[in-house]
Amino acid sequence: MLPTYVSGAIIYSNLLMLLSIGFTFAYLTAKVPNFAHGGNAAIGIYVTFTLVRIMELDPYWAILFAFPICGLTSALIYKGVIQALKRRGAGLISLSIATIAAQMMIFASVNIYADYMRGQAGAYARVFLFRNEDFEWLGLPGVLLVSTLLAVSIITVLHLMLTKTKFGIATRATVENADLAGTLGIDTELISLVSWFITGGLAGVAGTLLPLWFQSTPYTGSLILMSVFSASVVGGMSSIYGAMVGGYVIGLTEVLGTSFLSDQLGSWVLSYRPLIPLIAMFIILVRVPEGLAGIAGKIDLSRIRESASSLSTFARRRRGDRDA
Amino acid sequence: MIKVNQLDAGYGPIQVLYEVDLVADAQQITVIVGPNGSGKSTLLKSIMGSTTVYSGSVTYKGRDITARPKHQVANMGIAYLPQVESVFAKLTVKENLIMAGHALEREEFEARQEEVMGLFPFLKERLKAKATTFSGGERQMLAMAMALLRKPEVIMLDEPITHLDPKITSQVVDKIIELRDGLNLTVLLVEQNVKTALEISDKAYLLASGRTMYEGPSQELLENPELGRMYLGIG
Repeated sequence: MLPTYVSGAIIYSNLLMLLSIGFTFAYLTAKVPNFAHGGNAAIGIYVTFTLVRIMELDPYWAILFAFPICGLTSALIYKGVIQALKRRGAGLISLSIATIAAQMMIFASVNIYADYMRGQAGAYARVFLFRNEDFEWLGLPGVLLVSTLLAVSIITVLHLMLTKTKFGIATRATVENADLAGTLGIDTELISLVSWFITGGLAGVAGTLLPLWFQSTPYTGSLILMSVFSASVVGGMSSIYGAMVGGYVIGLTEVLGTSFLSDQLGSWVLSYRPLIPLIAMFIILVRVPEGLAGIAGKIDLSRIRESASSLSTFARRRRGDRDA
Repeated sequence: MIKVNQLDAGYGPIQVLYEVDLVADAQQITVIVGPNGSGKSTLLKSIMGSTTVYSGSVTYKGRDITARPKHQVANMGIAYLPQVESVFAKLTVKENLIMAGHALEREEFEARQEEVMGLFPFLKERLKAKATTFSGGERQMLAMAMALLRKPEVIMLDEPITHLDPKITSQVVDKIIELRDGLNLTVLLVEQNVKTALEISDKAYLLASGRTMYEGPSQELLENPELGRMYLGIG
């Protein structure tokens, strides 16, 4: 049996990691930060709400529905906003603002949906929590197990996709040099479109699990975006592996840090929870401006291999001397 | 094979090329020379569909390819090796080759990979090495291997020997000649190393300030002291 705040920290970190991977992946392929990413998580939250409150299904079915719905939403944003504006010569600032506009539209739609649910279906959809609908296994909350399993599975699948499949290698090639990829006959626009579908789907999946542990509202998607952004920046914005570590660092810091500070200073600290990831981001970036992925990039594997080889030679010689 | 007709092109509102004409004949080396900023690389990029074309046309084997998306131009049989970043540095040699042959079936890819390994044997031992560990000359060789793997009919090379040391330069030059004489490819070459480029090519174009100043046999340009002195620093 884990303390509640530890379970919460792990669940939150798992979900933040999925969201950060998506945010970074979308940025790498289109070179635009997708501020509508939190909107996809909000859609995921309301898919769970619909399934549990309206259709009276198990909340975990939402994963299957949210992935395609949020994937399509994200692909639509790419095709209808990013690609269309890029063709008209829009720069990074215009494109970023356009994704904020898309986020506002999703936020408004989710609010309308929440009110519609209350008016038409009689289900209160403005604040909800589904901990009671979750299962338990060996005293552990189901969402802790499912989110961990999901995070590990998705990371494994993404890693295999990026390193072992033609599409994945083409994605890495497009991320590194889209112009060169185009001259080799790779349809880089298609690669970006599919990547945005996948990232939207991941945000939706993360969103479906949020109401199983955290109180959810139409604002949840917008609020979590700050943490997602911090985790991605801490990760370096240049690698999904950096985003994974960034997600965990920010997730654990946010939940455990808030819990620690509220114990020490009082419950008023809880209101300032969204500040914690920003402060953590600031501290980490002061020390490592290129983010955590930058540290990994600086590790010279060949030198480590050389040192390991010298050590093993030394150990062999010592053993030989002893035996003699 | 490739025909550029009265092309006005540039980048967004900045025009670089003015009424440029070019004909690259089959199985010949056509070289484009000229001072820095004359529009040589822009001409190659315009053929690949990477620039803004204001007027004029580009045709390949009689088909209009003006301003087509570059992946479509590439899939029609035109390979392009850019001046810099001609390989994916973060990918391994094998992955670079997979990208070059991404449209091929596995068996065909393996067969073609064997073929290019025959032309560039050093790649065989370094399939798992990342391209970032390669020298400039080795990267050019890998870029050529990637282009040849796709069995193009036309190969466009943007300054392949400009920044190489003399020993590597001669190896790359030999490969360029082999592209024409051994593999019967049409080569369109942009090069700052004017003397070498004119010596190995059949036909030359001299560009200056985005306009064509000379069109004709390479040997004639090489022996023209006036143009050589004015634009190329030779003669």
